[in-house]
Amino acid sequence: MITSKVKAWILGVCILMPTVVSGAEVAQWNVFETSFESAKTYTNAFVEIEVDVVFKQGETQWKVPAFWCGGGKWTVRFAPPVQGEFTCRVECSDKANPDLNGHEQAFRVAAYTGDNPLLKHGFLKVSSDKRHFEHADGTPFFWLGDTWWKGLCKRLTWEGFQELTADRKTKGFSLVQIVCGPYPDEDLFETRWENEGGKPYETKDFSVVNPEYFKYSDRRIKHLVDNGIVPAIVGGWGRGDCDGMKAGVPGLKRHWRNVIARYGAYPTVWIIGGESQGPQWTEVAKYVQATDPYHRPSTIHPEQSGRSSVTDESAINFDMLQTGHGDWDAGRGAIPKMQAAYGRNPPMPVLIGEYCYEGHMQTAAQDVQRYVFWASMLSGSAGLTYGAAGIWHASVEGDPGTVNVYDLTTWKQGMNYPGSTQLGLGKKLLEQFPWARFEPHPEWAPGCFAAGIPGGMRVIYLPRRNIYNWSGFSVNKLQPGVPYSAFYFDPVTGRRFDLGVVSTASGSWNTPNVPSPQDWVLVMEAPDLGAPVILPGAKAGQAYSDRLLPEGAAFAKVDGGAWLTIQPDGRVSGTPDETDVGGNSWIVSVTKPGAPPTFIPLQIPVAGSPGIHFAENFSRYSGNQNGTQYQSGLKVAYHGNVAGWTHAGTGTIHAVDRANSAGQLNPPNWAVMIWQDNVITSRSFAANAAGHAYCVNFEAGAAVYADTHPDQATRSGDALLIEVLRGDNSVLARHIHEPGAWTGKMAFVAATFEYKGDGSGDIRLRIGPSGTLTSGRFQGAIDNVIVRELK
Amino acid sequence: MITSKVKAWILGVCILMPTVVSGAEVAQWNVFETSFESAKTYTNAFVEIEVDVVFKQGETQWKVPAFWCGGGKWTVRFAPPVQGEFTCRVECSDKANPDLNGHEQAFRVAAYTGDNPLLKHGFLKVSADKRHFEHADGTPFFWLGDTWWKGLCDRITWEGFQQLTADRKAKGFNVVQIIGGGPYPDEPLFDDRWKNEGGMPYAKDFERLNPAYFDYADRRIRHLVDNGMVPAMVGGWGWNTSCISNETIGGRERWFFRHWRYLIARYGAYPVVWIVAGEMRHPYLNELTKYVRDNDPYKHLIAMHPPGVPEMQSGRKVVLNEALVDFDFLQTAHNEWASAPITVSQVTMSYSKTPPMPVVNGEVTYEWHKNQSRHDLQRFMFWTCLLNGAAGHTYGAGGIWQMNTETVHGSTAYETIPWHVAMHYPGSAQLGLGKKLLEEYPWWRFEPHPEWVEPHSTTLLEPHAGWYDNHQKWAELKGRWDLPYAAGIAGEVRFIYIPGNNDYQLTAPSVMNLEPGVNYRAFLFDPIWGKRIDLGPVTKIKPADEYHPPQLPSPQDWVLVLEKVK
Repeated sequence: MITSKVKAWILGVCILMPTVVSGAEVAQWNVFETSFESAKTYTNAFVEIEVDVVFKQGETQWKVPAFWCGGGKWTVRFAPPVQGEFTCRVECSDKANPDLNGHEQAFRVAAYTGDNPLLKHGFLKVSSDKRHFEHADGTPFFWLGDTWWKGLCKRLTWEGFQELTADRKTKGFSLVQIVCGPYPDEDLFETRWENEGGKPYETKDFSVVNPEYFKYSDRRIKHLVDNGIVPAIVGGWGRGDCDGMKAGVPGLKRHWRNVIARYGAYPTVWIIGGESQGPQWTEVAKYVQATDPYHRPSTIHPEQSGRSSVTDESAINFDMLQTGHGDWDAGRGAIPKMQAAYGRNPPMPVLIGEYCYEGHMQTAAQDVQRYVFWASMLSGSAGLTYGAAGIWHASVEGDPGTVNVYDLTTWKQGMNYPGSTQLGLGKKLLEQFPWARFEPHPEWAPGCFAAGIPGGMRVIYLPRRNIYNWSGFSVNKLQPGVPYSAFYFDPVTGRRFDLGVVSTASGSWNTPNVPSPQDWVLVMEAPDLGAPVILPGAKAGQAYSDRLLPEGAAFAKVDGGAWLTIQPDGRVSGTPDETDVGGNSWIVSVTKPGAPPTFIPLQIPVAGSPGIHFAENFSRYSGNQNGTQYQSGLKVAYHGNVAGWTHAGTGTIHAVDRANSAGQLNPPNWAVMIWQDNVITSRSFAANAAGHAYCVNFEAGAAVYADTHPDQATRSGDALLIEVLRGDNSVLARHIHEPGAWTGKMAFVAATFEYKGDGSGDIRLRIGPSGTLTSGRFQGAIDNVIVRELK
Repeated sequence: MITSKVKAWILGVCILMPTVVSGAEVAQWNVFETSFESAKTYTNAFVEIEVDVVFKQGETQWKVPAFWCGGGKWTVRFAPPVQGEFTCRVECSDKANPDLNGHEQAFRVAAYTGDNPLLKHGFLKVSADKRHFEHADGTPFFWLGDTWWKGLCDRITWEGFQQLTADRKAKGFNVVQIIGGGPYPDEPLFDDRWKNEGGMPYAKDFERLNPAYFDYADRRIRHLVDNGMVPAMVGGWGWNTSCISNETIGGRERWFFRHWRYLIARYGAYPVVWIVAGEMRHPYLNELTKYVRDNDPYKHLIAMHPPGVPEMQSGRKVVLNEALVDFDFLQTAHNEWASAPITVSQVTMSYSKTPPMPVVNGEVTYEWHKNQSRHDLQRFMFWTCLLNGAAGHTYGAGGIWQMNTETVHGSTAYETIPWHVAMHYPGSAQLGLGKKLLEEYPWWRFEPHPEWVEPHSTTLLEPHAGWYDNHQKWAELKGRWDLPYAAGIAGEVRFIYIPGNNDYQLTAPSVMNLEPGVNYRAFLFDPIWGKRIDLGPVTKIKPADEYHPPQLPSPQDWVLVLEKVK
C-alpha cells in the first residue's frame, strides 16, 4: 500500500491515498513527500527495520531515509535538487515485506517560482574558497544565527514560536540554532524536554521513539524554512552533566537517521552535538555524512573549536567556535580565538556559534554584541550566531528552563534586547556589498578591524575607545589617487554620515572626527576598475619591459610593487627579484586628453630563476609601528602581516626594521619576530621532487623588545622552529635554531638546513616558536629565507 | 488698567478684562494669575522697571515678582500657600506709572479637591531631620528625577514632550531637571539649537528678552506640574563661566540676576526646585544664589549643580556660603564603572558632613551616554545612593538629556540616539520599580547601616565638619564598592543591595546582628524585572544573631528585604 501527499502535508492528519500518484508535480528544492503503509507488523519497527527511498533522475540517484510515523506507516521527504522527471522506489532492510520494497513512483520537478531565498537558491554548501557558505546556485549565504536551543519544547508555545520567528525574520536573521535531542542544563528525560506531543524518546538508549513529538517539531522546523530561516539542528547536548552520549553511539545514530529522514529535505545545517567532542561524536558525525543524501554542511558545537573536537577533521565541513560567556573580557577575547581558527590549514569556514549572549547573567549588552559581530565579520568569519538571555532556554514567567538559573529573563523580554536589531543592521549593510569576497586586512587601519577587496572597497570597524574621544583614525594603503566614496555608519542606529569623496596622494588618510564617542563603521567604496590588463610574464633577475596602450594617454602608477616603473607615455620596465615571484598587480591611472583619469588594474606574472624555489625577505610586511627600542633606536612594529603568509596564534605578528630607517612610514627592510605562540606559514611552492635534495637558507637573530617590556626580549634557550610541511600538514623536515640572547645590538647570523623531497606534492614553510608558547618573550627574529635545490 | 484671569490662562491669547475682579476663587497651591497693562511706554521695560505684586492675608504677606509679557503688559502668578481671603496690590519701581502702582484686588482661596499630589500636599521643603524632602503638609517626597536639560527647545516637539512626560509618569518619575531659558551645555551661546517654537529666549546682548519663548516654555512647565512632576529648573549652564557672569557683556547689567527674577516670576507659583546654575564655579555664585533666595517668596528648595570634576562633585561645596543651598546636589562623573567608587565615596562623605543636609546625586553615568553605562550600572547607582542615605536619585539617558532627534544632536554628539529611542532604555523602568518597592516602607526613616551585612562595601560615614579628599581617603582605605550595602530602620526593616557579578557567584551575604526579640521574614527582589522570591521566616544563627540567606537564584544584582513579622 502506498500513500502520497505532494505539498499537502497537514500536521497530525493522515491522508491515505490508495493509488500510485504518477505525473504529480513538485517544485525544485520544495518537499516531495510520500508514505508507505506496511501490513506486516513489528514489535518495534523503529529499531527492527530501516526503510529508504531511492530517487533517480537518469544516472543520478539519492538514497533518502524514510521515517517511521507510528503504526505501519513510513514516510519519506525529498527536496529535488534539480528539475525534470524523477522516479522513486522504496527499499527495506526486511526484504520479505512487500509493502516496503519496490513500488516505483514517477513525478516531475518544475522550477520554483516563489521568493523564499532558501527554495530559490537551494541548499547550503561551502564556497570554493572555503571561507563562507553559499546556496547550491552559488548565491552567497550570510549566516546571521540566533540561538533557540530549547525552541522545540512547549514552554515556547506555537504562537510564541511564530512571534519570535517573525521578529527574527524582520531583523534579518537567516539561521536558528535549535536542539532536537538531549538539552543542555537539564537532566535527560526531564518533563521540561517535552513538546505538545510529549518527549522525543521513551527509553534511554533512544530505542523507543515517540512520533508525536516529531510531528509537532515538524511544524516548527517547516515554519522556520517557510520564513527563509535555516534551521541549524543540533542532535543533542554532549557536555558531562547532560550527556547525550548516554544514549550510546547506536542510539545517537538511530536518532540522527530519524532527524535526517524528517528534516533532510529542508535547507538545514547539521550540528552533530552541542559541547561535544571525542571519537564517539566523530563516529556519529561520519555516520551523518554518510546517511545524508545531500551532504550539507555539518559541524560540532564545541566547548571551544568544532574542528578541534573531532578526531578526524574530514567529519565536518566548517569550524564552529564557542568563545566563552561574560562581559567585555569575553567579547574581546572571542576575536583572537576566531582569528586563530581562521589561520588554520587547510582553510574551512569559521564562525563563532556561541559567545557572550546578550544579557546572559546580566552581562554583555548591545555594545559587546556589536563588537563581536563587526570584529569577527571583518576578520574573515563566515557569519555569526547571536544569542540572547531568555531565548536560548525558552524561559517563561515561572520557569527559566534550566536547572541552575542564569537569569530570570523571559524569551519575550530577551527578544527585544537591542543587540539583535543592531546585528541585523550590520548584516543589511554588508549585504549591500560583495561581502563574500572580503578578506581581512588589519594593516589597513591599526587599532581597528578592517576587511574588503584589495584594490576595491573596504569596511573598517572602529571599536569604542576611551570616553570623550571624538578623534578620527588613520586608514593606510589606500590606492593613491583613487577616489573613494566614504561614509560613517552608526552600528547602533544604522544611520549614515556621508564623508564625501576621499582621494589621497600618499595612500594614508586621517578620517574626520567620528560623530560621537562610540564604535563606528567606516565604509569606503572604490570605483569599479573592471577587468585587468595582463602583460606577458617576467622572470626574476631579468630586465623586463613592455608598453601600455592607448598611445597619447598619460599613465601613472597608483599602487603596486616597486620593481616596475611606469613612464607617462605607457612604457613599463624593471627587474623583479625572487621575492616578486608569482602574480604581481598594480593600479595604473590612465588619462586621455581632455578626459578625467580612469584606473586600470595591471597584472604581470613573474617566474622564479632556476634553482630557487622560494625566497622571502619580508619586505612585504606591514604593521603598526609602536615605537623604538630605546637602546638601539630600532623601529619595532606589531599587528601586521606579511603578504602571502598566513598567521596563527593568539597574538599579532611583530617585526623589526633591520635598516633602522627611523622616520620612514614603511621601512622596507623588515625581519619578522616570532612572539609567543605565533606561527607564520608560507604559500605552497614546488620544491619536493622525490629524492632531490633542497637547502633552506635563512638569517636569524635575537629579537628586540619595545620600550616598556624588557622581559620580552629573546633569552638564551629560546629558539625558532622551522618546518617543511606537506600538503596535508604533516612535517617533511624540521629544524630548530637558537639565536642566542638579545644583547642590545642587532646581529643576524646566516644558517641553513637541508631536506630530501618525497614527491608528495607542493610544500610550505612554517616558522614558529620551539619553546613554551606562553613564554611572554620573542623566540627570535628571522629574515631572508631562500629555498633552493642542491644539484 | 487691570486684567485678570483665574485658572483660565490660555497660551498666546490675551484676555483683557477692564474691571477689577473681586470675589474670584482659586484653589490652594494652584496658580492665581492676573495682569496689568501699562499705558506709559519704555524703551525696554524688561530692564528699565521692576514690578511686584504684594499678596496679603491678615498680617502675612508675599511679595511676588511680576513678569513682562511684551508691550505694556505685566503678569503675576501666585500659588496661595493657605486658604481664606486674600488681597493683592501692584508696585512698580517707577512710582510715576499709575497703571503699575496700587489697584487692589481681592480673592478667596478654597481647598484643592483634585488628586495631583503636588497641589494636594504643597510645595517642597527639607524635612526636620535634614535628610529628605517633604511637601508643605509634611508628606514625604521621594525624589526620582530624570534629566531633560534641553527639554524646552523645539527639537522635542510639544507632542513629543507630552509623550515623554507620560512615559516618565507611568514609570514613577516625579522630578525633571530642565534648563529654564538660560544658556545650554555643549553648544555655543546663541546657537540656533537653543530656540523653541517662540524663538530664542534672548537677543544677543541678553538685554532684550523674547516673551514668546517663555510663553511656549510655560506650556511645558505647566504640563509637567499637571502630571505630578516637579520641574527642577536650572538657570543656565556655566562651565564656560563667562557665558553667565558679567565678564562677557562688558560689565553692563547683570543679566543673569534679571533672568532669575524672570524665572521666579514665571514659574515660582509652580512646585519647582531651583538649581541656580549647571557646572558653574565662580565667586559670583554666592551673590546670585542669595539673590534667588531673597526674591523667591516661597523659599523653594535651592541647589547648585556642580562641575563634576574630581575636586568639585558637590553643589554644597561650590557655593562659598553653604547655608545658601538647601541640599547637596552631586555630580559624580560619566566614567562607567570607574564612577562607582567615586559615587559611593562622594555620597557617603556628603551624607556625613555636619550639619546634615539632604543629598541627591543629580548627574552620574547616564544610561548609554557615549554608548556606555547600561542598566546594571543605573541600578547600582540608584540602590547604592539610596541605601547610603540619599534623599532620592536622578537618572539620565543618552539622547534625552540633550533631546536628540533622528538628524540633529543637541550637543557635540555624545551619542546619536534620538530621545524617543532612549526613552525605552530599561534603566528608567528599573529605577521606577525600585522607587515603588521603597515606597511600600517608611523609606524616609531609613539610615545607612553597612554593618548589617557581611561582607559589605566601604563607606565614608564618619561625621565631619570640613571637606576632605574622598578619592584619596578611598584609596588609603583600599575601598571596595562591589560588595553589599544595607540600610533600614532598626527592629523594623532592612534593605540589602547585593551588586551583581560576572563570576557565577551565588553565595548570598550574611545579615548581621539581628535585633533580639524581633522576628523577620525575608524576600529577594529582582531589581531588573521587579519579581519577588519569598524566603520565608528568618532563622537566626547564634551566637551573633546572623541570618544566612539561601543561595542567590542567579548571578545578577539582588535586593534582599527583611521585614519584621507583625
